Amino acid sequence: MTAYTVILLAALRVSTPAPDVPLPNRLDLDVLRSVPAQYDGRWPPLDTVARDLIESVTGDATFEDHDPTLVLLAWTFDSETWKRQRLIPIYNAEVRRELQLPESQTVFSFSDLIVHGPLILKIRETRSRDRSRKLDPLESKVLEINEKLAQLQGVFNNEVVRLIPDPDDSLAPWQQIPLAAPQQATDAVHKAWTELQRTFYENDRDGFTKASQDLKAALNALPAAYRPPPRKIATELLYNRTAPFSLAWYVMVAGAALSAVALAIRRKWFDVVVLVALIAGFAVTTFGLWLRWHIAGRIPASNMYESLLFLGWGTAAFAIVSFLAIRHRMVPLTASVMGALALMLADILPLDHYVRPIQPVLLDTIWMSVHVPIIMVSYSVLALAVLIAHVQLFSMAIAPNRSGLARAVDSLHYWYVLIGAILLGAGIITGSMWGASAWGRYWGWDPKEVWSLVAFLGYLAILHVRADHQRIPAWGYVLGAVLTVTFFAIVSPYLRPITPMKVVALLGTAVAMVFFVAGRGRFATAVKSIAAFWLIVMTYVGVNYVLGIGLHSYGFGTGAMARWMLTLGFADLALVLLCGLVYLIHRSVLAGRSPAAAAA
Amino acid sequence: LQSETTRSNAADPLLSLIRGLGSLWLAAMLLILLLVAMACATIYEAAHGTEQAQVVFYKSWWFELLLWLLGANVLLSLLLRFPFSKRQIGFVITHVSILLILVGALVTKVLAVYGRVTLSEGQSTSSFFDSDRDELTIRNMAKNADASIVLPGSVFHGFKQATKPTVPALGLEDVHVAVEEFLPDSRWERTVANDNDSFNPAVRLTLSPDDFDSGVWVFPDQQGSDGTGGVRLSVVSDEAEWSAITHGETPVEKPEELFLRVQYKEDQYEFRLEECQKQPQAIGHTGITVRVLRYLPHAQVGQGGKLRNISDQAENPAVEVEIAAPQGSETRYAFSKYPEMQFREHLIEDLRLTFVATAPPPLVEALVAPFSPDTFIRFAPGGIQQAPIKIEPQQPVATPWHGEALVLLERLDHTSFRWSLTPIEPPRDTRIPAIRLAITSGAETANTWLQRHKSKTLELNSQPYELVYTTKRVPMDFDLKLDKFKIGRYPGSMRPRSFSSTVIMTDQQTGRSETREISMNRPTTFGGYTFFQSGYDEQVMTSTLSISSDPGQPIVFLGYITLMGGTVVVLGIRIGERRKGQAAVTAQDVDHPATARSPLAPPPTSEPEPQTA
Repeated sequence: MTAYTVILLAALRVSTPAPDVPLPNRLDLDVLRSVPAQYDGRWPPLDTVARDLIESVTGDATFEDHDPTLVLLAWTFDSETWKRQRLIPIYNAEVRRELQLPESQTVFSFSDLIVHGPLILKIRETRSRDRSRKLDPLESKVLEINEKLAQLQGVFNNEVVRLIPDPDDSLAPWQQIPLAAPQQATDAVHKAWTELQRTFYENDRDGFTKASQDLKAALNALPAAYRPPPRKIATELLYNRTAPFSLAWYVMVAGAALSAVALAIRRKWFDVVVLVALIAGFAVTTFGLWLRWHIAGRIPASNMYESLLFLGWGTAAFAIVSFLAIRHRMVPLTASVMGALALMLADILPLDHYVRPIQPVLLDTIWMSVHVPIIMVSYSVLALAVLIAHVQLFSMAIAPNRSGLARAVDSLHYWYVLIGAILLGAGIITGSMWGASAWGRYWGWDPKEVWSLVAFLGYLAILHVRADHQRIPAWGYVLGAVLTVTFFAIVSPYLRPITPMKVVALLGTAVAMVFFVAGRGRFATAVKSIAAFWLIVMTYVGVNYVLGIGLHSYGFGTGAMARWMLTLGFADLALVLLCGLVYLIHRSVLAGRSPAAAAA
Repeated sequence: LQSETTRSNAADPLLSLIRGLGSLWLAAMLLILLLVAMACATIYEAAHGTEQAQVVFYKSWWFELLLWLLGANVLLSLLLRFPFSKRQIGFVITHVSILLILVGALVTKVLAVYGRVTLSEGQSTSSFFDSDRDELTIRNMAKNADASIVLPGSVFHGFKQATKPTVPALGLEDVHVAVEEFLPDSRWERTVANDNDSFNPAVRLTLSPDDFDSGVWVFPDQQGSDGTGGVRLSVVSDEAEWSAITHGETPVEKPEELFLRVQYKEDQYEFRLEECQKQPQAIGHTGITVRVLRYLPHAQVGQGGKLRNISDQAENPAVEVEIAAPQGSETRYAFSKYPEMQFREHLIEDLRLTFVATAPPPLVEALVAPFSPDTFIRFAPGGIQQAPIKIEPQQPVATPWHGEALVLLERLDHTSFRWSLTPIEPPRDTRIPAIRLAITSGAETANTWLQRHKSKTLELNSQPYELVYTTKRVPMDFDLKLDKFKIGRYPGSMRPRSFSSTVIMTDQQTGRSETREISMNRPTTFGGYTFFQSGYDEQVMTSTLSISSDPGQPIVFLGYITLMGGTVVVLGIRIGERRKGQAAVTAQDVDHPATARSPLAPPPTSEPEPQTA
């Protein structure tokens, strides 16, 4: 996370008391940063190790605006001091209350927590729980804290930073440099390491640079079965330094502003400027993905973070193509907003930003590189469609008699839904084929698979109803009612216990079902498109975070995501209802006026 | 024109019905119903598990009915538009593809076989377990004749108890087997009675005096199970020893001894280690023998899951045992420190091996004698036995452990067990279904409960029979041997990066063999079956392969490809139309209600492809 987003987050979080331990401020860390380490199943530069550790513990890689490598060195060399520093944030007041932690404090030190009885008890209890049961939010929070403590302990005990390569086995674990080097350190590595510690304490710039160079040279001289090529290390450092995805969303925000201006001033030459901005955003995202692909050695499409990147990329790519094809000024505006939103969410949500080892099933297969991009581009297109659907709602609610505008927006919306649905279908098909080659079954009713089909059926229903100009005969309504009532009679016993909430949900579902089949016209299509997009949201995040089951749930989150989804969903519902109400009032006023006008 | 159409439709209700069944609005209704059904299914699955969701939703009659209706709707929509115009090509391709996919799914449902097989290195098999079908087998063990039936899925994969479910007739010679009852999930429960003719003592003890109802039953020769770890009941039959106990004398230490305990079905056998090392020991009259190949006082799991000994200290005593049975032989390990660790049953089922070292004295030892009504208790805090104390029923006795008191709740001298199978409601995620069988031979009838993956032997009209209720075994006409199993790891960690099995397939007729490699995402096909790497067990180095044979899959894949092609055609036609600047047509489409010239072939202008608008 970059400094810019830190500013954003600072508004949300209670300020952290600055540590009163002065860090050395004159050191040049450039050399040290590029030293290769073995970490988390890869060989990244020390910079990445530091960023990952410090972000996982404190929630922010540039902790207190310090260089991550510097902080990691401080934790390693001066562990006794840093054990007493407040590093681990627990922002949730409820969690603090449950764990009997002080109300007023939000960030805790390693030594605060490691001796805190209620926390340790809860950790022990959670770890020895019945494994078949899902974690409750408190338990997953507690395990998260435990994980942070374990990581910190690893750094304090000098177990994490592994710089000495194995001479014989390329896959064997690398070794760490012991902190207390032997008295007569003849070994060059130990000597340089001891020197590094000394110059670090003394804040000696030149000595530190010299020691870093010596250390790097000494490590390089060791026999190694494998050592990452310097080019790869350089690529990763470039990636860490430029943070291309943060950059990309600033560019896209700028692009959105320019598109808004273009919409207002309606000049051809300005459209070219907008197009350039759009291409710039796309280029930065592509560059970031290309770097990440090189670093990981596989397509970056394995988890929620990486798929969000593809969402942003797909939006920009599709927008460029469709802007050139359709030349509608709405296209770059919606695309820039959506792309910026996706990349911003990827950047600021508490998602894992680091390249991790992935499940064997995701490796060594062409299908991941086919399936994930198709799905993500389809989500991007459908996300654009939902933005346009909102625009349609607003414009029809505010100006219901401007049918020319409504028709133009409707046509744009239709293209997006059509292309999005086709891509979604292709995504489901490629996913099914991947499943067949990995597990032997082309369809296994896995929740993720089912939900993507659910969303696809939603869009198919929209397209079919839109094409339908036949009046539903009376017996058709009877048939529909019989089918629906029978369906609910069969299904509802399985959803026991029937709570008032569930009754409301079922009634809402029934209303939505009727609306989907019987609701025609532009306004109804826009509303349906919004509803269908919520099915996509459910597929994309809900299955992992709300249902939390099935083969696709490789990552698991807590209740926070579900709460966010629900809140946003209800806000959108309220918005749609409001627009619908205004639209209906306007229309009835118009209907009331028009006969009079005709008579006049 | 419109009123004319309405009239012509009204005149022929059948045509109106057919047009309705092939209509877009019915398509939309069915799509929405399927959508909601699947959404409900995933919510149900989150609470009740995958297996139940499959039975209740995806494989239920009504879900299938919805799919049939959808298929009929698509088919009729095609027929109604025949003959097709040029601009309907996309519509035809996509909708024929949907039909293809549905037909493929139907073929899969009827003909596909999915199964799995677990092998350790060097092991081979010529059959696998079908994961979707259960089988009931009766075997006459004297004549080596058998008969089987597949238990139909509707009941036996269900989650409701059923009495007298319909099953195909199962008969062997003059013996008939009928399924009387089905329980979706069951557990054997033991009740203790005091009606045994011979002396068979038992005590019920508790460490929490508030809890007089529960406590644990402790029986002689039972240790470490039922959560009674550390509590033992010893029967003293020697009067001199008893007299020493009643006088509160501290016992002398016994030398340590090692022995192998074998449980086969309901019987238990014990052999001293030295005997087992010298020569194979027969397990009763089962035809099975056990022999200790190696004794490892300090065992450690080394490369490739193989055990090696690293010192003479009895740190982790283990034995490598060869078990020879008529059906073949296999090698297993047993650890004295981990008696609960049982390696997976491969060849010889129902056999449990435990390696027992006369462990340090139990923390709590209850002592009884056949000739005395008294009960004594001996504590051994820190492994050192204290002098015995007399314990009276219901009277708490202080223990050496702080604040804890031991209570003897009950003592029985003539214990007998009754086992009864009880249903578990609601069924667990990993459930054990059970069936009650009535086996009739002439005038004789026997009744028995049988849980899945279990067998039962019984004698009827002086013939020995075995009943087996397990997953259906599918024979292949070739042998499958696991030659090697490899786990690749991420550097510097134990996290697996890849796993692959090298297998050798040998045709049973020609004897020709072929070596294949199977890894994640890289299946191999042989003899009509496709093999996938699906899992592994690192502890015992076994590889699990899933096996499938699905004639529906090519049909579905063909449907997939034509569907993708069809959507591209649809998109192309749409774009072409837009290019031609037919904004007027679109406007017309939207503004004009349905018009139809002929009820069976509606004109393409008034009813464009359902796929698009």
